[in-house]
Amino acid sequence: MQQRSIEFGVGLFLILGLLSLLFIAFDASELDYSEGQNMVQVSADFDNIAGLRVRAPVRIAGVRVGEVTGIQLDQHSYRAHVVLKIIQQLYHIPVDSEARILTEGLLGAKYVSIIPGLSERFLKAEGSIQRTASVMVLENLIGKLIFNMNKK
Amino acid sequence: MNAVTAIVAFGQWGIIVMCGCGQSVLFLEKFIRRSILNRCRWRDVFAQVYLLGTHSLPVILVAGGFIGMVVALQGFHTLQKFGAEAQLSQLLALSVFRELGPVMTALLYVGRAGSALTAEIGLMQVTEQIPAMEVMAIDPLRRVIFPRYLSGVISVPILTLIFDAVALWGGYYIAVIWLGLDVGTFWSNMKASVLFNTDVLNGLYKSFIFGLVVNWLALYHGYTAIPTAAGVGLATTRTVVISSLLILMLDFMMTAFMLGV
Amino acid sequence: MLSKRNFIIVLFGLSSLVFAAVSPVVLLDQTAIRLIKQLKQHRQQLKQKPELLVKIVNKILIPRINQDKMAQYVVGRTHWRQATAQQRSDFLRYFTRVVISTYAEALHSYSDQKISFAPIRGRLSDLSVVNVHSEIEPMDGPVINVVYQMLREKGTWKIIDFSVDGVSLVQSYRSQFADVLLRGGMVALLKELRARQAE
Repeated sequence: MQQRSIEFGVGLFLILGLLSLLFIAFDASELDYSEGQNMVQVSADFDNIAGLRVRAPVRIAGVRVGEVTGIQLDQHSYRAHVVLKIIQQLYHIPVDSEARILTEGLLGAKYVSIIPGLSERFLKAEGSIQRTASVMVLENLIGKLIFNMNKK
Repeated sequence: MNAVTAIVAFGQWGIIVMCGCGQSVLFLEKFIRRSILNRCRWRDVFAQVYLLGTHSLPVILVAGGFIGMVVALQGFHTLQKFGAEAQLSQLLALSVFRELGPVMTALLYVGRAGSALTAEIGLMQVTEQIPAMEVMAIDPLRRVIFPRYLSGVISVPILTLIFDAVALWGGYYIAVIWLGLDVGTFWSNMKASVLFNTDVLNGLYKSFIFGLVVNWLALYHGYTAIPTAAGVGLATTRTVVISSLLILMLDFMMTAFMLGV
Repeated sequence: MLSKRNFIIVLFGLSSLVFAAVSPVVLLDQTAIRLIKQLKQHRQQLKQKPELLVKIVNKILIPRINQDKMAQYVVGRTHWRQATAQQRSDFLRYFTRVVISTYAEALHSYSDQKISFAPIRGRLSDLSVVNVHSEIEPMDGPVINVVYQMLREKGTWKIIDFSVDGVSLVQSYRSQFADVLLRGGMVALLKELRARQAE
C-alpha cells in the first residue's frame, strides 16, 4: 500500500515536471532557431550606428531574417562596419539594396532593416550592402524643434 | 574580553570554518566515490523522490502561484507609468526563468526538504542506526546517503520547472483576468522575448547547481550532527542558514558569469 | 617632342585631374558653387519671379541627380517591375517635379549661408555608393546637416538620395506613397500625383 502511494506520488511529480517543461518550451519561450541553420554573412558600413547592439535583429519587410553579429570601427573611413548574418533560405538580397537602422516603436531597441533594391543580381556571401542610412538621432531633431519653436 | 582574546577567538572560529569546509568536501567525495560505480537501489531513490520532491510540491505550487501574481501586480503598476503594460509578460517570464524560479525553489526546498533531510540523518545518528549499519558491514554512505542525494539532485530542477510554470500562470491570472490585459498580447509578447536556449536553460542550470550544493550540505550536516536532540536541531539550523546564503552567493556568481561579466 | 621626364609629369597631372573629377565631394562642391553663383547673379529677378528658381535648379542640380534610380527606389521593387513603360516615364516626370520643387523651396530662403562638405575618408575605389556629409550654416540657429547619397556610374557620381537632419527624401516619399501603392498600385499613385500637381 505504501509502495503504491510512493509510486503514484513519484509518477505525479514527474508528470507535472514534464508538463511544465513542455508548456514552457512551446508556449512561453521561443527556441533559438538561428543556431541550427546555415547563415550567410554580409556586411554594411554605416556613418552612425548609435544604440545598435550585437544580436540586434535584421529584418526584411519586418520579418526577422537574421541578426547583427559584429560591430567594428573601420579605422580608415571612420564608419561603423556592421556584420550581419542572414538565414540561408531567406537569403536573396539584391546588390542595390538599402540598409537602415530603425527603432522598434519609439523607445525600443534598434534593429537593421534591409529594403530590397531592384537589381537582378544578388549579393554573394561576404558581400557588402552599399546603400546605408544613418541612425536618426532623436535628440538632434528635438533640439532643432525646440530652437524653431523659440524662434517663433 | 580584550583585543588579543577577541582576535584569538576569531582565529579559532576561522579555523573551525575551514575545517568544516574541508570535511564537507571530503564527505562529498567519499560518498560519491563509493556509490557511483555500484548498483543503485532504485526503490530507495524513488522513495526519496517521493519524500523530497512530491512532498515539496504543495509548497512550491503555492509559492509559485503567489510569486507570479505579485510580480505581475508590481510590474503592472510600474510599467503603467511608461505606457508599457504590454511588456508585463516579458518582465514576468524573464524574472521567473532567470532568477525567481531557480532561487525561490532552492530556498523553499532548503526549508522544506533540506531541513527534513538533515533532521532525518541526524536522527539516525542519535538512534545509532548509522553505527549499527557499519557494524553490519552495510555502508551507510551507499545505502542511506547516496540515494537521498541522487533523488534530491533530480528533484530540484523538476521543482523549478513546476514553479516556473505555476508562476507564469499566476501572473497570467493577475495580468489578464484581474488587470484586463489582452490575452493574446500577453502570451505572444512572452513567447517573442524569451529564448529557451538561454533564458530558460540558464535558469535550469542554476537550479541544478543549487540542487547539487543544497542536498550535499543537508546530508553532510545531518551525518556530522552531534548525536543529541540539541545537536540535530543545531545541524538543521546550520543547513538552512548556510545553504540559503550559499544559494544567494552562487546565484550572483552564476548570473555574472552567464551575463558575461 | 616630350622628353621622358616631362611625359611622366604630364601623365601624373592628367591622372590627378581624373581622380579629382571622380571624387563625389568635388562634384558636389562644384555644383554648389555654380548654384550659389546663379542665385547671387539673378537675385533681383528671383525676388520678382520666384519661378525662375525652378529653372536654375533644373539646369544645375538635376543633371547631377540619377532621377531614374531615385524614382525606382521610392516606388520599390514589386511595383516598379509591374509598372508599364508608360507608367514609369509618367512617374519619373511627376517625381522629378516634386524633387525640383522641394529643392527650390529650400533654396528660396537661401541668403549667403555657408555650405561646406566633409571629405571622404578611406578608399573610394572600393565603394559604389558614398554618403557625402555637408553642413549649412544659417545666420542664426543650429547647423543643418544634409547627407547626399551618391552612386558611382561610368566615371562620375550621381545623387540618388539626400537626407536633411537624418530624414531621407527617398524614405519619406516611399512611406507617403506606400499606402496608395498598396491599395491601388501605380495607377492609383499616378492619379493621386496628377491631382496633387493640379492644385
